Amino acid sequence: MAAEGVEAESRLSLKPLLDLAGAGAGLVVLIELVGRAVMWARFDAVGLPATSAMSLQSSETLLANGAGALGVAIALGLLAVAALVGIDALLKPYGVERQGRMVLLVVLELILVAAVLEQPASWKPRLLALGTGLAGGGLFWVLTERVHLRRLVLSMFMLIAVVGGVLAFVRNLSPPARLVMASLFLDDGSLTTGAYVALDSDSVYMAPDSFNRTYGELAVIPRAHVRRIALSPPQNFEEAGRGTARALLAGRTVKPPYGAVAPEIARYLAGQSADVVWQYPPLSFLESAYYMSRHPEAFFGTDPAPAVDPGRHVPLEQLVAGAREYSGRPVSTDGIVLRSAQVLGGSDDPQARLITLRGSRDPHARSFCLRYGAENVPVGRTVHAEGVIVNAGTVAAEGSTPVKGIFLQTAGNVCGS
Amino acid sequence: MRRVGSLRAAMVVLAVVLGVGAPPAAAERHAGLMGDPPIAAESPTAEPKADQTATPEPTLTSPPPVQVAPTALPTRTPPTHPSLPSVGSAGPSQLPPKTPSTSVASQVPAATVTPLSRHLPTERRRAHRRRGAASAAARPSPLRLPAVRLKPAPVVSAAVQPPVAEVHASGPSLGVLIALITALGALAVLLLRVRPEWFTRREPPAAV
Repeated sequence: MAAEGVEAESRLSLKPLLDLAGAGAGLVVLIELVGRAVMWARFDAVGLPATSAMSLQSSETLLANGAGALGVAIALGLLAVAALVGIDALLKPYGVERQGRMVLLVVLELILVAAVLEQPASWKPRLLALGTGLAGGGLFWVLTERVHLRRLVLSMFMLIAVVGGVLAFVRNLSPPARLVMASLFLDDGSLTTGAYVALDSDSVYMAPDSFNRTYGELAVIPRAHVRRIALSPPQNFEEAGRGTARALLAGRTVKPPYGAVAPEIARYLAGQSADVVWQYPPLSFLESAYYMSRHPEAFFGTDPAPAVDPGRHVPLEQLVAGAREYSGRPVSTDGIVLRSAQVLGGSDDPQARLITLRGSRDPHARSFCLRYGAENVPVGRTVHAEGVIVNAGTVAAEGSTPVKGIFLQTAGNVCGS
Repeated sequence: MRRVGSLRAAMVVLAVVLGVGAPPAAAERHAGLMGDPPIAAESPTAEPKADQTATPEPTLTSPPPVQVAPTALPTRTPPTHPSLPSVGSAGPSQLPPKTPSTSVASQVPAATVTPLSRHLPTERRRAHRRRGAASAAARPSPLRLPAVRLKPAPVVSAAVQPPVAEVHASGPSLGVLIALITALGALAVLLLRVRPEWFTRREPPAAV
């Protein structure tokens, strides 16, 4: 009899371990699921093809992102579990432990409401998170009546983790998205930047940006063309032309030091970066975007063009070679008209033309600019252009020799005077 | 003490008479007693010692020998082990032989070199040594590196410092809200603990 009793006790003592192992396995699955959801939300928030980008992610990346997203929820779950055990032990002798659990549930739901309202998101994801929280609370209340405290504790921890995962998904669903910044130094000497997506033995996947604004492009650059990859800490990325949601409660508004770039201007500049004239995504200059945003009427309206200092008349070859040094302020240059092509799409003016200029000394230096109006400039003529350098990069192959170029945004889109 | 002193004087006199001179150690000790720095221990080729108060100069412990009419210099040191030729060389047998050392110090017998200070009286020797120390301090040492002049750090004026983004909070932070909610919950639990009867339904007294 005694032996049977010992055997029965040892069989009973395995149950908590089995419960714990089950909860641990469920937590790992939950972490990977949350990592997948969070990364999908980030890619979707910046306008990338999120499902395609997700197919490039490794399970380690998903687990790491899920653990990062669930860190606060796991900590909160442990605290809540400790609170549940403590409240039960404190109030059971007085017969009010049920009321204590209700107090704990109300506290957790209120924290969820505050956290949801603090997120800069639209109403649909907010309601999704609130609904998940309420459903989890209801399930918890049902379980309090039916299961043992041990299982209740584990269930509560898992429910908090699930609600935390949904909240993390909601938080990442709205821009700006926190993504790693990648700088790729290419074998032709040029540089391209963007949001890092993935890396394998053959290719680098990135979302090129126009001054930290992506434009829905998932670029694949062969590793053979990359000389060096530099990854920087995550930065805020937005989709060009898309507004950001605001928090309803306890949010923070950041006033950028150099002013803001209007969504329309951002979308226009992103369109120039995405143009097919570039072999690799070109580098864009934040200073130029800010400068144009401070003078929108001069560049896109009817105001007179900003005066260009005579000392900033630079040969085209020099502009192409040192584009960064000349960005952010107007420059003037001269070039020979190489091509004058009609802009078929993306422009409101049917008479818009994309003018390609080349350097008078170096035929491999290019400058692109737009020209609106009926009057054209003949090919071969040396023309004058004034504007702000927006992009710089490698031009799509016209031969074996790499050709470098810039996009010059002229005031009023009058290129070639 | 007096007996020891007289014994030492007798030994010196005896040595002078016999023509063998005093033992070097005794001579050094004698010179030391007289306040004269020891000179017999100096190497003939040694540099004059610098004054102790002078700033120490980084000098070579053994100055490199001056090469006299060097012949064709070997371009590569032959490997120490004949079976292991150095990488890129044709092998030890085809390497040029090592040029023998032709330094001045190795050609001049050490015994024939006598410092000039040995022929001078004590006071002149001291003055000569001081001048030597001064000239040694003034002479550029072969290890003296050119003075590195660090450029002063550029002064960044407030005008060119990038402005900082302004952050405006539109309400209490989430941490404050969570702390407030948690405090209210703790208060409710405390109330449950202190006044549990407020939260329990009282059973009506049973009918008799």
